[in-house]
Amino acid sequence: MSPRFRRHADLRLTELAGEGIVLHLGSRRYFSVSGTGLAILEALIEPRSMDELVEMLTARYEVDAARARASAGEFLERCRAAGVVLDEPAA
Amino acid sequence: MNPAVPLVWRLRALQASLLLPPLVRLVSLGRLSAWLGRIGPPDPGLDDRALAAWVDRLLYAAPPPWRRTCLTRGTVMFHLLRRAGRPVELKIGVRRDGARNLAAHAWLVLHGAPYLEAEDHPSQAFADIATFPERA
Repeated sequence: MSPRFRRHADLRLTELAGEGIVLHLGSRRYFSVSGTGLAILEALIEPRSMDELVEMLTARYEVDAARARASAGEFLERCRAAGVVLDEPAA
Repeated sequence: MNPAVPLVWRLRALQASLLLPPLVRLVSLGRLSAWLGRIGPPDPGLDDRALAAWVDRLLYAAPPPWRRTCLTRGTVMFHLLRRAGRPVELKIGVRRDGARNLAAHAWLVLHGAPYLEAEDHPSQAFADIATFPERA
């Protein structure tokens, strides 16, 4: 079974002039992400696999699956390192 | 001392101003607001503006982490006003200040309008990112 990810429960999101803004209620830190990053974090309110994220991105944006997978993978790695996206334990 | 604020509310304000600013740094705002947001019995005798002025004076005079910021003031007033039966909300918004700087601000809202804030409060300039108490 492929790994699944979800965003930290303390994240709050909004869109501001085409970019995504992320607020972490625990650390009170905030930062901006791209529109695509915002779409990924919005989707991760529920646990999602990489395949599901790629499917969402290719449906929403004009991007092929390989590029969507590469972009999402890079973004998820940075988010996991920052602790804003977590690995969902296998059921 | 402000005679318009009853002694019991001055003591509550002092207690909240001592306890909450450090807690804001330690506990997630989502969890903290759930603890602080319980609505108490309405106190029609309380002058909300005088209470806010009392809290402002306390926090302006205090060192960090108690010193007044929009978030410490908002959190303290959110708790006190809801305890006094006012259904206030605490909002956090963000905006761009120039190309590089991202700014966040916290303010009180009552019945959809900024409450106990400056008349020219720039709430419209901020995109809402969180509102407390949060709806399930």
